[in-house]
Amino acid sequence: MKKLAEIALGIVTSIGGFLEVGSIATAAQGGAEFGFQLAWAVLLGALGLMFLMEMGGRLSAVTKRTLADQMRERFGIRIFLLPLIATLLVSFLVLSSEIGGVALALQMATGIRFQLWALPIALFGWFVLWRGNFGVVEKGAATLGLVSVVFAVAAAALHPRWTSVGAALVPSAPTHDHARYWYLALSILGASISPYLYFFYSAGAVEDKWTPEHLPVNRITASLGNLFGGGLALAALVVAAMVLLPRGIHVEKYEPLGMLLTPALHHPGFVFFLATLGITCFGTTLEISLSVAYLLAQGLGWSWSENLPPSRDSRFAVTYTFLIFAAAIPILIGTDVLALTNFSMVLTAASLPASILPMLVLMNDRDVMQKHANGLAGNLALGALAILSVVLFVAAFPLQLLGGS
Amino acid sequence: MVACGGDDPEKSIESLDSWRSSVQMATTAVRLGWVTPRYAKQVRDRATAALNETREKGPKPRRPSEQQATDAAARRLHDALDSLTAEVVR
Repeated sequence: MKKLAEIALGIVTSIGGFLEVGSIATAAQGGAEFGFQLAWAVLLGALGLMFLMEMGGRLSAVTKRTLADQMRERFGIRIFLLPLIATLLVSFLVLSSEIGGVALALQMATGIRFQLWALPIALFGWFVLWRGNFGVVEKGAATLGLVSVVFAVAAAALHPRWTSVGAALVPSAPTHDHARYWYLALSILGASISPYLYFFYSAGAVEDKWTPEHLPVNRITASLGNLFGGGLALAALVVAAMVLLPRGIHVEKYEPLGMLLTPALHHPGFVFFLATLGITCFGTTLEISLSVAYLLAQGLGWSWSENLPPSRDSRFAVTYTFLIFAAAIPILIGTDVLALTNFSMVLTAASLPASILPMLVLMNDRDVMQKHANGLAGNLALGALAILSVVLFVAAFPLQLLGGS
Repeated sequence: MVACGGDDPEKSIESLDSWRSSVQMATTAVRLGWVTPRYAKQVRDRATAALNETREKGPKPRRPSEQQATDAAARRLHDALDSLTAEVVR
Protein backbone atom coordinates (compact mmCIF):
# COMPACT_ATOMS: atom_id res chain seq x y z
CA MET A 1 0.00 0.00 0.00
CA LYS A 2 2.88 2.33 0.86
CA LYS A 3 4.51 1.52 -2.50
CA LEU A 4 1.28 2.29 -4.33
CA ALA A 5 1.04 5.63 -2.57
CA GLU A 6 4.65 6.37 -3.50
CA ILE A 7 3.98 5.50 -7.13
CA ALA A 8 0.81 7.61 -7.24
CA LEU A 9 2.57 10.57 -5.65
CA GLY A 10 5.55 10.17 -7.98
CA ILE A 11 3.33 10.12 -11.05
CA VAL A 12 1.34 13.12 -9.84
CA THR A 13 4.62 14.96 -9.23
CA SER A 14 5.91 14.17 -12.70
CA ILE A 15 2.67 15.20 -14.41
CA GLY A 16 2.31 18.39 -12.39
CA GLY A 17 5.94 19.29 -12.97
CA PHE A 18 6.15 18.58 -16.70
CA LEU A 19 4.69 21.76 -18.16
CA GLU A 20 6.60 24.99 -17.59
CA VAL A 21 7.42 28.13 -19.50
CA GLY A 22 9.61 26.37 -22.06
CA SER A 23 7.31 23.48 -22.86
CA ILE A 24 4.24 25.74 -23.04
CA ALA A 25 5.94 28.31 -25.29
CA THR A 26 7.63 25.87 -27.65
CA ALA A 27 4.56 23.62 -27.98
CA ALA A 28 2.40 26.68 -28.67
CA GLN A 29 4.87 28.01 -31.25
CA GLY A 30 5.07 24.60 -32.91
CA GLY A 31 1.29 24.19 -33.05
CA ALA A 32 0.70 27.76 -34.25
CA GLU A 33 3.16 27.47 -37.14
CA PHE A 34 3.08 23.79 -38.14
CA GLY A 35 -0.19 22.38 -36.77
CA PHE A 36 0.17 18.87 -35.39
CA GLN A 37 3.32 18.17 -37.43
CA LEU A 38 5.76 18.61 -34.51
CA ALA A 39 3.88 16.18 -32.25
CA TRP A 40 6.72 13.68 -32.77
CA ALA A 41 9.20 16.08 -31.13
CA VAL A 42 7.01 16.27 -28.01
CA LEU A 43 6.78 12.47 -27.87
CA LEU A 44 10.51 12.04 -28.45
CA GLY A 45 11.28 14.58 -25.71
CA ALA A 46 9.02 12.81 -23.21
CA LEU A 47 10.49 9.39 -24.06
CA GLY A 48 14.05 10.73 -23.80
CA LEU A 49 13.40 12.28 -20.42
CA MET A 50 11.68 9.10 -19.27
CA PHE A 51 14.80 7.00 -19.94
CA LEU A 52 17.19 9.54 -18.43
CA MET A 53 15.13 9.96 -15.26
CA GLU A 54 14.74 6.22 -14.84
CA MET A 55 18.50 5.78 -15.12
CA GLY A 56 19.28 8.68 -12.79
CA GLY A 57 16.83 7.28 -10.22
CA ARG A 58 18.18 3.73 -10.64
CA LEU A 59 21.75 4.88 -10.13
CA SER A 60 20.81 6.70 -6.93
CA ALA A 61 18.69 3.85 -5.59
CA VAL A 62 21.49 1.33 -6.17
CA THR A 63 24.47 3.41 -5.01
CA LYS A 64 22.65 5.74 -2.57
CA ARG A 65 24.62 8.55 -4.18
CA THR A 66 23.61 11.08 -6.76
CA LEU A 67 24.39 11.24 -10.45
CA ALA A 68 26.60 14.34 -10.00
CA ASP A 69 28.48 12.71 -7.14
CA GLN A 70 29.13 9.57 -9.22
CA MET A 71 30.20 11.58 -12.25
CA ARG A 72 32.80 13.47 -10.26
CA GLU A 73 34.18 10.32 -8.66
CA ARG A 74 34.26 8.29 -11.89
CA PHE A 75 35.75 10.96 -14.18
CA GLY A 76 37.59 13.29 -11.78
CA ILE A 77 36.95 16.95 -11.16
CA ARG A 78 38.49 18.17 -14.46
CA ILE A 79 36.15 16.15 -16.67
CA PHE A 80 33.25 16.75 -14.30
CA LEU A 81 33.68 20.51 -14.76
CA LEU A 82 32.31 20.18 -18.31
CA PRO A 83 28.81 18.90 -17.38
CA LEU A 84 28.92 21.09 -14.28
CA ILE A 85 29.54 24.34 -16.16
CA ALA A 86 27.27 23.44 -19.09
CA THR A 87 24.40 22.53 -16.77
CA LEU A 88 24.97 25.57 -14.54
CA LEU A 89 24.88 27.94 -17.51
CA VAL A 90 21.75 26.56 -19.15
CA SER A 91 19.98 26.07 -15.82
CA PHE A 92 20.61 29.72 -14.97
CA LEU A 93 19.02 30.85 -18.23
CA VAL A 94 16.09 28.46 -17.84
CA LEU A 95 15.64 29.68 -14.26
CA SER A 96 15.45 33.28 -15.48
CA SER A 97 12.85 32.22 -18.06
CA GLU A 98 10.78 30.49 -15.36
CA ILE A 99 10.84 33.57 -13.14
CA GLY A 100 9.80 35.49 -16.26
CA GLY A 101 6.91 33.04 -16.77
CA VAL A 102 5.57 33.64 -13.26
CA ALA A 103 6.04 37.39 -13.73
CA LEU A 104 4.11 37.35 -17.01
CA ALA A 105 1.25 35.38 -15.48
CA LEU A 106 1.05 37.99 -12.72
CA GLN A 107 1.26 40.82 -15.25
CA MET A 108 -1.61 39.37 -17.30
CA ALA A 109 -3.68 39.01 -14.11
CA THR A 110 -2.94 42.37 -12.53
CA GLY A 111 -1.71 44.70 -15.28
CA ILE A 112 1.44 45.45 -13.24
CA ARG A 113 4.52 45.21 -15.48
CA PHE A 114 6.36 41.88 -15.33
CA GLN A 115 9.69 43.51 -14.45
CA LEU A 116 8.26 44.63 -11.11
CA TRP A 117 7.37 41.06 -10.16
CA ALA A 118 10.88 39.63 -10.58
CA LEU A 119 12.23 40.40 -7.11
CA PRO A 120 9.05 39.53 -5.15
CA ILE A 121 8.95 36.16 -6.96
CA ALA A 122 12.64 35.54 -6.17
CA LEU A 123 12.07 36.52 -2.55
CA PHE A 124 9.05 34.25 -2.16
CA GLY A 125 10.86 31.39 -3.88
CA TRP A 126 13.88 31.83 -1.66
CA PHE A 127 11.62 31.90 1.44
CA VAL A 128 9.99 28.59 0.44
CA LEU A 129 13.42 27.01 -0.14
CA TRP A 130 14.85 28.41 3.10
CA ARG A 131 11.95 27.39 5.31
CA GLY A 132 10.57 24.38 3.43
CA ASN A 133 11.85 20.84 3.04
CA PHE A 134 12.25 18.58 0.03
CA GLY A 135 8.69 17.28 0.24
CA VAL A 136 7.26 20.80 0.07
CA VAL A 137 9.35 21.71 -2.96
CA GLU A 138 8.97 18.47 -4.89
CA LYS A 139 5.47 17.35 -4.09
CA GLY A 140 3.75 20.55 -3.00
CA ALA A 141 4.53 22.64 -6.05
CA ALA A 142 4.07 19.79 -8.49
CA THR A 143 0.73 18.77 -6.99
CA LEU A 144 -0.53 22.33 -7.45
CA GLY A 145 0.85 22.06 -10.98
CA LEU A 146 -1.82 19.49 -11.74
CA VAL A 147 -3.87 22.51 -12.76
CA SER A 148 -2.05 22.08 -16.10
CA VAL A 149 -4.42 19.18 -16.86
CA VAL A 150 -6.62 22.00 -18.17
CA PHE A 151 -4.67 21.73 -21.45
CA ALA A 152 -5.91 18.16 -21.92
CA VAL A 153 -9.48 19.28 -21.14
CA ALA A 154 -9.23 22.11 -23.69
CA ALA A 155 -7.72 19.83 -26.34
CA ALA A 156 -10.56 17.34 -25.89
CA ALA A 157 -13.17 20.12 -26.00
CA LEU A 158 -11.82 21.33 -29.36
CA HIS A 159 -12.41 17.89 -30.97
CA PRO A 160 -9.23 17.59 -33.02
CA ARG A 161 -8.91 14.76 -35.53
CA TRP A 162 -7.02 12.37 -33.30
CA THR A 163 -6.01 10.25 -36.28
CA SER A 164 -4.14 13.30 -37.64
CA VAL A 165 -2.52 13.88 -34.25
CA GLY A 166 -1.52 10.21 -34.14
CA ALA A 167 -0.09 10.37 -37.66
CA ALA A 168 2.05 13.35 -36.63
CA LEU A 169 3.77 11.23 -33.99
CA VAL A 170 5.85 9.89 -36.88
CA PRO A 171 8.48 12.49 -37.90
CA SER A 172 7.94 14.12 -41.27
CA ALA A 173 9.66 16.86 -43.25
CA PRO A 174 7.99 20.28 -43.39
CA THR A 175 6.49 21.73 -46.56
CA HIS A 176 7.64 25.28 -45.74
CA ASP A 177 10.12 27.14 -43.51
CA HIS A 178 12.48 24.20 -43.06
CA ALA A 179 14.93 26.03 -40.78
CA ARG A 180 12.13 27.29 -38.54
CA TYR A 181 10.60 23.80 -38.33
CA TRP A 182 13.84 22.17 -37.20
CA TYR A 183 14.58 25.09 -34.87
CA LEU A 184 11.22 24.56 -33.16
CA ALA A 185 11.79 20.77 -33.02
CA LEU A 186 15.11 21.46 -31.30
CA SER A 187 13.48 23.91 -28.90
CA ILE A 188 10.74 21.40 -28.01
CA LEU A 189 13.38 18.73 -27.32
CA GLY A 190 15.40 21.20 -25.24
CA ALA A 191 12.29 22.09 -23.24
CA SER A 192 11.60 18.42 -22.45
CA ILE A 193 15.07 16.95 -21.94
CA SER A 194 16.59 19.42 -19.47
CA PRO A 195 19.63 18.20 -17.51
CA TYR A 196 18.36 19.84 -14.31
CA LEU A 197 15.41 17.41 -14.39
CA TYR A 198 17.40 14.19 -14.19
CA PHE A 199 19.98 15.66 -11.81
CA PHE A 200 17.09 16.82 -9.58
CA TYR A 201 15.34 13.46 -9.82
CA SER A 202 18.55 11.64 -8.89
CA ALA A 203 19.13 13.95 -5.91
CA GLY A 204 15.49 13.47 -4.92
CA ALA A 205 15.97 9.71 -4.81
CA VAL A 206 18.80 10.22 -2.29
CA GLU A 207 16.77 12.77 -0.31
CA ASP A 208 13.92 10.22 -0.14
CA LYS A 209 16.43 7.49 0.88
CA TRP A 210 15.66 5.14 -2.00
CA THR A 211 17.15 1.64 -1.98
CA PRO A 212 17.15 -1.08 -4.68
CA GLU A 213 13.69 -2.00 -3.35
CA HIS A 214 12.47 1.26 -4.91
CA LEU A 215 13.51 0.26 -8.43
CA PRO A 216 9.98 -0.77 -9.50
CA VAL A 217 8.62 2.50 -8.05
CA ASN A 218 11.32 4.37 -9.97
CA ARG A 219 10.53 2.62 -13.25
CA ILE A 220 6.77 3.14 -13.03
CA THR A 221 7.07 6.74 -11.83
CA ALA A 222 9.54 7.75 -14.54
CA SER A 223 7.58 5.97 -17.28
CA LEU A 224 4.00 6.91 -16.51
CA GLY A 225 4.79 10.36 -15.11
CA ASN A 226 6.68 11.44 -18.19
CA LEU A 227 4.26 9.87 -20.64
CA PHE A 228 1.29 11.61 -19.00
CA GLY A 229 3.31 14.84 -18.66
CA GLY A 230 4.32 14.60 -22.31
CA GLY A 231 0.63 14.12 -23.07
CA LEU A 232 -0.04 17.54 -21.54
CA ALA A 233 2.67 19.14 -23.69
CA LEU A 234 1.09 17.40 -26.69
CA ALA A 235 -2.28 18.81 -25.64
CA ALA A 236 -0.74 22.31 -25.58
CA LEU A 237 0.51 21.78 -29.14
CA VAL A 238 -2.90 20.48 -30.24
CA VAL A 239 -4.72 23.46 -28.69
CA ALA A 240 -2.32 25.89 -30.40
CA ALA A 241 -2.80 24.08 -33.71
CA MET A 242 -6.60 24.32 -33.35
CA VAL A 243 -6.77 27.88 -32.02
CA LEU A 244 -3.79 29.85 -33.33
CA LEU A 245 -2.98 28.27 -36.70
CA PRO A 246 -6.40 28.89 -38.34
CA ARG A 247 -6.26 32.52 -37.21
CA GLY A 248 -2.71 33.02 -38.52
CA ILE A 249 -1.40 33.94 -35.07
CA HIS A 250 2.32 33.33 -34.53
CA VAL A 251 3.61 33.38 -30.98
CA GLU A 252 6.05 36.33 -31.05
CA LYS A 253 5.36 37.46 -27.48
CA TYR A 254 3.73 35.76 -24.51
CA GLU A 255 0.76 38.10 -24.16
CA PRO A 256 -1.50 36.59 -26.86
CA LEU A 257 -1.10 33.17 -25.25
CA GLY A 258 -3.42 34.29 -22.46
CA MET A 259 -6.33 33.66 -24.87
CA LEU A 260 -5.15 30.19 -25.90
CA LEU A 261 -7.73 28.24 -23.92
CA THR A 262 -10.64 30.67 -24.20
CA PRO A 263 -12.22 29.32 -27.43
CA ALA A 264 -12.57 25.95 -25.68
CA LEU A 265 -13.23 26.96 -22.08
CA HIS A 266 -14.20 30.65 -22.21
CA HIS A 267 -13.43 32.71 -19.08
CA PRO A 268 -12.29 29.72 -16.98
CA GLY A 269 -9.83 29.01 -19.78
CA PHE A 270 -8.22 32.41 -19.25
CA VAL A 271 -8.06 31.96 -15.48
CA PHE A 272 -6.69 28.43 -15.71
CA PHE A 273 -4.08 29.42 -18.27
CA LEU A 274 -2.71 32.10 -15.98
CA ALA A 275 -2.84 29.71 -13.02
CA THR A 276 -1.02 27.02 -15.01
CA LEU A 277 1.68 29.40 -16.23
CA GLY A 278 2.20 30.95 -12.79
CA ILE A 279 2.12 27.78 -10.68
CA THR A 280 4.13 25.51 -12.97
CA CYS A 281 6.80 28.14 -13.58
CA PHE A 282 7.06 28.82 -9.84
CA GLY A 283 7.38 25.11 -9.10
CA THR A 284 10.10 24.84 -11.74
CA THR A 285 11.85 27.90 -10.30
CA LEU A 286 12.15 26.06 -6.99
CA GLU A 287 13.29 22.83 -8.65
CA ILE A 288 16.00 24.47 -10.77
CA SER A 289 17.34 26.51 -7.84
CA LEU A 290 17.63 23.34 -5.79
CA SER A 291 18.94 21.28 -8.68
CA VAL A 292 21.85 23.68 -9.29
CA ALA A 293 22.63 23.84 -5.57
CA TYR A 294 22.60 20.02 -5.48
CA LEU A 295 24.86 19.82 -8.49
CA LEU A 296 27.45 22.18 -7.04
CA ALA A 297 27.30 20.73 -3.55
CA GLN A 298 27.51 17.12 -4.73
CA GLY A 299 30.17 17.89 -7.31
CA LEU A 300 32.37 19.82 -4.89
CA GLY A 301 31.78 17.60 -1.88
CA TRP A 302 29.83 20.04 0.30
CA SER A 303 27.24 19.09 2.88
CA TRP A 304 23.78 19.22 1.27
CA SER A 305 20.13 18.42 1.84
CA GLU A 306 16.94 20.43 1.54
CA ASN A 307 15.80 18.55 4.63
CA LEU A 308 18.60 20.04 6.75
CA PRO A 309 18.33 23.49 8.33
CA PRO A 310 20.38 26.04 6.30
CA SER A 311 22.82 26.46 9.19
CA ARG A 312 23.98 22.85 8.67
CA ASP A 313 24.60 23.11 4.92
CA SER A 314 25.35 26.79 4.58
CA ARG A 315 27.22 26.65 1.25
CA PHE A 316 24.32 24.72 -0.28
CA ALA A 317 21.83 27.32 1.06
CA VAL A 318 23.99 30.23 -0.07
CA THR A 319 24.14 28.76 -3.59
CA TYR A 320 20.36 28.65 -4.12
CA THR A 321 20.00 32.02 -2.43
CA PHE A 322 22.51 33.66 -4.78
CA LEU A 323 21.18 31.85 -7.81
CA ILE A 324 17.50 32.70 -7.44
CA PHE A 325 18.19 36.41 -6.93
CA ALA A 326 20.78 36.56 -9.72
CA ALA A 327 18.37 34.85 -12.12
CA ALA A 328 15.75 37.50 -11.35
CA ILE A 329 18.03 40.25 -12.72
CA PRO A 330 17.46 39.63 -16.46
CA ILE A 331 13.71 39.83 -15.85
CA LEU A 332 14.08 42.90 -13.64
CA ILE A 333 15.82 44.76 -16.46
CA GLY A 334 13.07 43.83 -18.92
CA THR A 335 14.63 41.04 -21.02
CA ASP A 336 12.19 39.65 -23.59
CA VAL A 337 10.98 36.50 -21.82
CA LEU A 338 10.01 34.59 -24.97
CA ALA A 339 13.35 35.28 -26.67
CA LEU A 340 15.14 34.25 -23.47
CA THR A 341 13.03 31.09 -23.27
CA ASN A 342 13.73 30.09 -26.88
CA PHE A 343 17.43 30.79 -26.53
CA SER A 344 17.71 28.84 -23.28
CA MET A 345 15.84 25.85 -24.76
CA VAL A 346 18.23 25.72 -27.72
CA LEU A 347 21.22 26.04 -25.41
CA THR A 348 19.79 23.27 -23.22
CA ALA A 349 19.59 20.98 -26.24
CA ALA A 350 23.18 21.88 -27.12
CA SER A 351 24.38 21.08 -23.58
CA LEU A 352 22.99 17.54 -23.48
CA PRO A 353 26.11 15.59 -24.58
CA ALA A 354 28.00 16.94 -21.56
CA SER A 355 25.75 15.00 -19.18
CA ILE A 356 24.40 12.14 -21.34
CA LEU A 357 27.76 10.79 -22.53
CA PRO A 358 29.12 10.37 -18.96
CA MET A 359 25.82 8.69 -18.05
CA LEU A 360 26.35 6.16 -20.81
CA VAL A 361 29.64 5.13 -19.18
CA LEU A 362 28.30 5.15 -15.61
CA MET A 363 25.22 3.09 -16.37
CA ASN A 364 27.43 0.37 -17.85
CA ASP A 365 29.98 0.34 -15.04
CA ARG A 366 29.34 -2.87 -13.11
CA ASP A 367 31.53 -1.67 -10.24
CA VAL A 368 29.04 1.14 -9.74
CA MET A 369 25.74 -0.40 -10.84
CA GLN A 370 26.43 -4.06 -9.95
CA LYS A 371 23.65 -6.26 -11.35
CA HIS A 372 21.51 -3.20 -12.11
CA ALA A 373 23.73 -1.94 -14.96
CA ASN A 374 22.00 -1.18 -18.24
CA GLY A 375 20.74 -4.07 -20.34
CA LEU A 376 20.50 -4.08 -24.12
CA ALA A 377 17.28 -2.06 -24.22
CA GLY A 378 18.61 0.57 -21.84
CA ASN A 379 21.83 0.87 -23.80
CA LEU A 380 20.01 1.14 -27.11
CA ALA A 381 17.87 3.94 -25.67
CA LEU A 382 20.79 5.74 -24.03
CA GLY A 383 22.97 5.24 -27.12
CA ALA A 384 20.24 6.72 -29.31
CA LEU A 385 19.90 9.63 -26.88
CA ALA A 386 23.68 10.15 -26.90
CA ILE A 387 23.66 10.30 -30.72
CA LEU A 388 20.63 12.60 -30.67
CA SER A 389 22.35 14.85 -28.13
CA VAL A 390 25.42 15.18 -30.37
CA VAL A 391 23.20 15.97 -33.38
CA LEU A 392 21.38 18.61 -31.31
CA PHE A 393 24.72 20.05 -30.19
CA VAL A 394 25.94 20.37 -33.78
CA ALA A 395 22.63 21.73 -35.09
CA ALA A 396 21.74 24.11 -32.26
CA PHE A 397 23.70 27.21 -33.20
CA PRO A 398 23.14 27.15 -36.98
CA LEU A 399 19.41 26.67 -36.35
CA GLN A 400 19.36 29.48 -33.80
CA LEU A 401 20.76 31.76 -36.51
CA LEU A 402 18.57 30.48 -39.35
CA GLY A 403 15.29 29.65 -37.60
CA GLY A 404 15.18 31.87 -34.50
CA SER A 405 12.88 34.89 -34.55
CA MET B 1 17.24 42.38 -32.69
CA VAL B 2 14.37 43.47 -34.91
CA ALA B 3 11.48 41.77 -33.19
CA CYS B 4 8.91 42.22 -35.88
CA GLY B 5 9.71 40.22 -38.99
CA GLY B 6 13.50 40.50 -39.17
CA ASP B 7 14.85 41.98 -42.43
CA ASP B 8 12.38 40.34 -44.80
CA PRO B 9 9.39 42.53 -45.83
CA GLU B 10 7.22 39.42 -46.32
CA LYS B 11 7.94 38.29 -42.78
CA SER B 12 7.14 41.77 -41.60
CA ILE B 13 3.71 41.66 -43.25
CA GLU B 14 3.13 38.18 -41.82
CA SER B 15 4.00 39.51 -38.37
CA LEU B 16 1.66 42.50 -38.68
CA ASP B 17 -1.18 40.22 -39.81
CA SER B 18 -0.44 37.87 -36.91
CA TRP B 19 -0.77 40.77 -34.48
CA ARG B 20 -4.00 41.88 -36.19
CA SER B 21 -5.46 38.40 -35.63
CA SER B 22 -4.37 38.49 -31.99
CA VAL B 23 -6.02 41.89 -31.54
CA GLN B 24 -9.22 40.71 -33.24
CA MET B 25 -9.27 37.63 -31.02
CA ALA B 26 -8.80 39.83 -27.94
CA THR B 27 -11.64 42.10 -29.12
CA THR B 28 -14.02 39.16 -29.38
CA ALA B 29 -12.79 37.63 -26.13
CA VAL B 30 -13.23 40.82 -24.09
CA ARG B 31 -16.67 41.43 -25.64
CA LEU B 32 -17.79 37.95 -24.57
CA GLY B 33 -16.28 38.37 -21.10
CA TRP B 34 -13.73 35.61 -21.65
CA VAL B 35 -10.77 37.83 -20.78
CA THR B 36 -10.49 40.93 -18.62
CA PRO B 37 -10.24 44.43 -20.14
CA ARG B 38 -6.96 44.78 -18.21
CA TYR B 39 -5.52 41.84 -20.12
CA ALA B 40 -6.94 43.02 -23.46
CA LYS B 41 -5.15 46.34 -22.96
CA GLN B 42 -1.86 44.47 -22.64
CA VAL B 43 -2.46 42.73 -25.98
CA ARG B 44 -3.29 46.14 -27.46
CA ASP B 45 -0.12 47.70 -26.06
CA ARG B 46 2.07 44.87 -27.34
CA ALA B 47 0.49 45.05 -30.79
CA THR B 48 0.91 48.84 -30.84
CA ALA B 49 4.57 48.44 -29.94
CA ALA B 50 4.99 45.89 -32.76
CA LEU B 51 3.31 48.28 -35.22
CA ASN B 52 5.51 51.19 -34.18
CA GLU B 53 8.62 49.04 -34.33
CA THR B 54 7.82 47.95 -37.87
CA ARG B 55 7.21 51.55 -38.92
CA GLU B 56 10.41 52.81 -37.33
CA LYS B 57 12.87 49.93 -37.62
CA GLY B 58 11.22 47.48 -40.02
CA PRO B 59 12.82 46.30 -43.25
CA LYS B 60 12.81 48.71 -46.18
CA PRO B 61 10.59 47.33 -48.97
CA ARG B 62 12.52 46.74 -52.19
CA ARG B 63 9.61 47.35 -54.58
CA PRO B 64 6.59 49.69 -54.54
CA SER B 65 4.27 46.67 -54.35
CA GLU B 66 6.01 45.56 -51.15
CA GLN B 67 5.62 49.05 -49.72
CA GLN B 68 1.90 49.01 -50.54
CA ALA B 69 1.44 45.58 -49.00
CA THR B 70 3.27 46.62 -45.82
CA ASP B 71 1.21 49.81 -45.57
CA ALA B 72 -2.00 47.85 -46.07
CA ALA B 73 -1.03 45.36 -43.34
CA ALA B 74 -0.18 48.26 -41.00
CA ARG B 75 -3.56 49.87 -41.74
CA ARG B 76 -5.41 46.62 -41.05
CA LEU B 77 -3.64 46.30 -37.70
CA HIS B 78 -4.35 49.94 -36.92
CA ASP B 79 -8.07 49.45 -37.61
CA ALA B 80 -8.14 46.33 -35.45
CA LEU B 81 -6.45 48.26 -32.64
CA ASP B 82 -9.14 50.97 -32.89
CA SER B 83 -11.86 48.33 -32.51
CA LEU B 84 -10.15 46.81 -29.48
CA THR B 85 -9.68 50.22 -27.89
CA ALA B 86 -13.41 50.95 -28.37
CA GLU B 87 -14.27 47.62 -26.75
CA VAL B 88 -11.91 48.10 -23.81
CA VAL B 89 -13.09 51.63 -22.94
CA ARG B 90 -16.76 50.76 -23.38
